[in-house]
Amino acid sequence: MEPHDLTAHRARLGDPDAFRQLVERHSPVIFKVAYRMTGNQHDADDVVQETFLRAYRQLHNFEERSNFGTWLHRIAINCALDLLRSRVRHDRHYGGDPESAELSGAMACAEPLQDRLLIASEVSRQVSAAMDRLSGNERTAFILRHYEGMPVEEIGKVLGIQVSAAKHTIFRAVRKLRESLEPMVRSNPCST
Amino acid sequence: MQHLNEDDLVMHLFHEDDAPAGAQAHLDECAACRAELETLRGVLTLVDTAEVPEPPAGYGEKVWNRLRWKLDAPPARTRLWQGWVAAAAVVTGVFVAGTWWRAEHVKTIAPAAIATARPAAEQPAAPDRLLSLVVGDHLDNSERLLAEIAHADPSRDFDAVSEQRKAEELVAANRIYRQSALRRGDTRIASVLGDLEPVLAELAHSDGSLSPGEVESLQKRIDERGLLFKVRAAGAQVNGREQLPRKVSAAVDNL
Repeated sequence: MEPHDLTAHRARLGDPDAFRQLVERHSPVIFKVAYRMTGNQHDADDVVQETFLRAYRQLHNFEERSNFGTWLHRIAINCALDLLRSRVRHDRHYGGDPESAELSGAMACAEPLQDRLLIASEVSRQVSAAMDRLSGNERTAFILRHYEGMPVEEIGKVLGIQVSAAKHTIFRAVRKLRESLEPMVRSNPCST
Repeated sequence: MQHLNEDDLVMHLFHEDDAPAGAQAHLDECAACRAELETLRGVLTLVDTAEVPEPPAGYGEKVWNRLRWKLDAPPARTRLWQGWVAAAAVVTGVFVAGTWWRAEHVKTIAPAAIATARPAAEQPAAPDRLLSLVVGDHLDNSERLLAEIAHADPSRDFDAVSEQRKAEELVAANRIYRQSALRRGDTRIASVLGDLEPVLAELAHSDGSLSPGEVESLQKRIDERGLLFKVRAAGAQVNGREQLPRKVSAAVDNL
């Protein structure tokens, strides 16, 4: 069968220049996935590096009729998941604090541009903090379902858990996000 | 129909096949459930607003530059003993080759050598060339490793998993090459390898991640002793790529 991607085919045959091309081509996309999963640039960079290292070592397992990007994407998710699982998370009690309420109360569609930029930046920070409250599995399950549109069955396979458990992991993730972010949603009709 | 609970609403939002039948019809009629759904939708919309930064221009190239020399590395568990075994094998090989070469030389060349009374020091030394070759390779690898550390960003943690494995491999070989250089009376190479060893050892004993303080400390050690330059110069000299001018050579010795 004709290989789906000739560069991947050449890389699989041991051509280092072809692998370099794959790294340069796919790094930006993998970075974005990694960033969503880990929530910061440093960890995202590490995940990108580890993804390509694993891909290089597993090239012989790559089936050429598959899409190289999809294959790589799956490796990146596993790398990010490993990192999330290995990281000792400090439980950041979040949500409902006075500062949050004050900031969320300040949100309004008619704010001047500079204020809106500041608010947007604060929203980003709050979302990031809310995501950090999720466990590794919760974060992964939520991102795979919400951003990647992955079926729950597949998510279960990635996480190594039953379908019903994967579903409940997504529920827990949404519940935690809601706990943290609902005050901002209620005070900001623009976000809905 | 009963009100939809939060899990039902999440299923409905994610368009899951097993969302409760009649959910949409209920939502059309029930303002309370509709409000709940809108709150959840608002939360997900807010999550979507979180920015994912664009990677900088040339990101792929940067990734490749960090990655490329890590790609040949063998599996981690075998590296340390492989480093020792490889280095020991090379030194043993050089010793055996030297013994053989000397025996052959005495048997076949000695009469002519006596006739011409050529000093032994002027004779070609094949085993020495072999050892130079492997030491040159070792210095090249060490130089690349030092360059990685020297160019690391000292304001953040440094993922040193690959560097730590490489250092394990190199520090094992370094000890043997240094002792061998001392035995051969090559004090310059022995001195460079002696300066290199503590840095390699420190990296080899890291747990695969260097804190900004550790990165800075290593960079300082590399910088203070001019280690990168010394290793580069020694490697170039051993590999015969260039003959250092006497002044430069003296400067390297004084570092």
